[in-house]
Amino acid sequence: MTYQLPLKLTATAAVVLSLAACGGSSSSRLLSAQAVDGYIAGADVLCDGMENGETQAAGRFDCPAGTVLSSISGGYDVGTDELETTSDVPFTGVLEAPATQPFVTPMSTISVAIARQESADGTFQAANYTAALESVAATFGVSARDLSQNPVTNLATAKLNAQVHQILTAFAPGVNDYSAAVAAVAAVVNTAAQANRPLNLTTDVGVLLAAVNNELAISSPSLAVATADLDQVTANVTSANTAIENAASPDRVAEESKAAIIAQAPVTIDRDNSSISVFNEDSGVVQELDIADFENSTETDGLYIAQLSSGLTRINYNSNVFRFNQNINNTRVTVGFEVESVNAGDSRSISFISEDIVVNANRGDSNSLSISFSSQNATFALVGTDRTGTVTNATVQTDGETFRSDGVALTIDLSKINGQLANLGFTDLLETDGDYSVTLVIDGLRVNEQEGTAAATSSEEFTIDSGADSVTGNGFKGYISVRR
Amino acid sequence: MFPGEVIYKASATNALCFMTLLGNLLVSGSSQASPVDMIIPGFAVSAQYETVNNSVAYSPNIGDGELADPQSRPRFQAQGVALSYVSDKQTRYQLGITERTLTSLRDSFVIDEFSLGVNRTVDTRSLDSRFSLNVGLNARVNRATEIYKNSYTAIADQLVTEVRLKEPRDTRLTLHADLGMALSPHLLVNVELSGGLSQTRQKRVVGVGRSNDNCEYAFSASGNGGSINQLGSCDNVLSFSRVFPSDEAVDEELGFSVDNDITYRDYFLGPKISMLWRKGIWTLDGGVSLRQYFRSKIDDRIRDGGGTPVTRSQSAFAGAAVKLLTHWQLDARVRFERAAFLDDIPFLYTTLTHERFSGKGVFRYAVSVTRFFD
Repeated sequence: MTYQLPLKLTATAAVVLSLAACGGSSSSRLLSAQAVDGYIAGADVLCDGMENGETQAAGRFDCPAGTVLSSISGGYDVGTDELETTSDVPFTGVLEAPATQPFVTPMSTISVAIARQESADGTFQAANYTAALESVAATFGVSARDLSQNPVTNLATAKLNAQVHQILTAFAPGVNDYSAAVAAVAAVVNTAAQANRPLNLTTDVGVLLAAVNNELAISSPSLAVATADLDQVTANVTSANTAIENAASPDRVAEESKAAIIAQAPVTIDRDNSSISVFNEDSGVVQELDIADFENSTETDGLYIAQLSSGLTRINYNSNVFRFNQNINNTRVTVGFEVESVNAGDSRSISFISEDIVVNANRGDSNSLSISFSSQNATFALVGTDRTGTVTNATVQTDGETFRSDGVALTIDLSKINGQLANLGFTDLLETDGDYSVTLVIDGLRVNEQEGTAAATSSEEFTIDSGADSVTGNGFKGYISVRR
Repeated sequence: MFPGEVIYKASATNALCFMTLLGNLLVSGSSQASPVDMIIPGFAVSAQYETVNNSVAYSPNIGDGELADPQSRPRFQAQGVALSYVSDKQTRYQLGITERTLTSLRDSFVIDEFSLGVNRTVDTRSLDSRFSLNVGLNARVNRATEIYKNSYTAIADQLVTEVRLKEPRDTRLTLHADLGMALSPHLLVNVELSGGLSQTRQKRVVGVGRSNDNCEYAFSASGNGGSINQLGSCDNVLSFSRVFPSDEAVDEELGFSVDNDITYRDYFLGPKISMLWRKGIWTLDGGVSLRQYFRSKIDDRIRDGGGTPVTRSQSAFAGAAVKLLTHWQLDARVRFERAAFLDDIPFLYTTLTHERFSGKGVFRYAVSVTRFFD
């Protein structure tokens, strides 16, 4: 059977899968999918836990016949444009749907979680899904049939998906936290369903969030919000869900949801109250810069504003660069860092990427930032290119010191990286003069940025591509000249 | 041994005027040659088998870490066929193909040679009927799928433990002239001077090396660059690879380069002196040869690395031939070579493999049979 999708999807925070070639007379028997927040493009696809590429434009992806459970993770909310493949709004969530369902939404994700909770061994049983979906539908005042429909054609379903996504992201600062939040919300919804107690995602936000927070306090304490902060979180979600409720069309639902996601990001880059320091520790040279000066790519007399008279060994991103809008507890992120020559004919670059980074921070306390490797077995991927174009790739177990955060600054220690490369027979790529771009990327956390009293906007994204590993996320890209 | 080098009567009226035509077609240049007492215009077809005086207990890997039961095999064997055609008693064209097999403890490699040559007798009867002069030009091409060497070679602070030449090729052109002088109705002395050039190449070189800190790396290089990949993990480095964009970068990092250490062009020059005795259906011959190689770059690199290049080769040979019936001839020959096989297979000579063939004398034995067609 083939499910036709409309030209425009309208639901927010929804993943729509169509069984374009699944069953019936289809010869390929692939499970074709569309991921939507509006559409979610560039998300990792898992088919029964097996990696199966990324979602494409309009969120399309395939899973092989026989797949029981499909899921997508991360990616970008590209709105309702069926041709767009990227946007400034990352989707920091993990959504699931049974392979037998044509559409995946946050609601289907909640239903999958309930089905999982109803299973004796905690695993997902497809047979439990229908009952779970009916419970969710009844709790939120819609029919299971409506909840299974293409949400972009159903305004009410679009609103429900967008609103439940707001609740989930209120507790999940990073993509890796989303599933724990889903489980907690599912438990609350399941309890309400069993008590035949309806929930309204606009008027019952306070009750719902309190119940979810209690669940998280037991199941995932690191995601639970402090009691003192819960009122603010409730106010934020209520405001967002009210705006979504008042939206007159699925397009408006998508816009309101995206605006709320940006505004309520757990991390804000404060462009007014920030500084970055570049060091050569060997010579004691240091230059402190405003973020704008660091990011300024205009050369004067052939030099960037950031200048060192000796090689770059360390960069400090002062803690006040970041503002934390909610507690971040052991959120796993991917961090990439790259120094690359911008001079024509100079191929030198160093980059490293690690997926084994955890972030901790307390709401309202910039100096509480802690960013570190997740364990002693954590690894990072190193890539270096020298002047001849020789490219070195290595995966190295962490020394624990390449990243440092001491409450004052987040430090990237290039001397440690160069030390690793030297151990691999690579000379210091940056020991000679040059002009470089310096990029720091953090992926897995929702980040916005704010300048002055203006409303927070989405933070610029950068990509560090190091061959087998690539990371796209929010961060900084600055420029520095080194002249000895 | 093949009837690649053909000694035959120059004319019926000068029965003792032997001439040596250096066909070099099958086993080639300085290797085995058989006297052929035939100058009948027409075709001749020869088949040869050759082996050496030492063998190896060949026991290859058969998968899953298992080794085959050892089989004693000669370290070198060759077999081939040649076709020659005499058009006008003065010109001989020759075409040949030889398959050589090099066998070591774990591996066995086949090298195919294709050869083509033309030899011309210069008419010297007007000057002195005792002398004969022949000139010739030969072209030979060797090719193999792979050559493997698993002995250790220290290079650039690393120990290369395995080397594989992938799809090696070489081409050799040889120009020669030999002067024969009849000392008696049954005895001929022959002096030959030959020279030429060789060019080797290969698709790429792969192998395994070990660094000072005992980490193992697989490497691959061609003239356009190369790569290394760490085998397994080493200390805190779980994976490691490096891609080199040029041969210069390979040289800088690995200590060898394809253009300087693997691929080369050489020039060579050398004399050969032989004597031949024949009576009735029997022919006996023997002699010595010397070849001087001129390969400045690769030999300098070998010296720089502390090695000893093979700049010359010496060999001594002896053989016997007997005519059977009207159109058949059997040959048996033995040859001792100081630089084993390098005269025949230039691509074996690289900075990474040269020591395998340096100063290791080998006796080569060959038998052949030739059928002449009028």
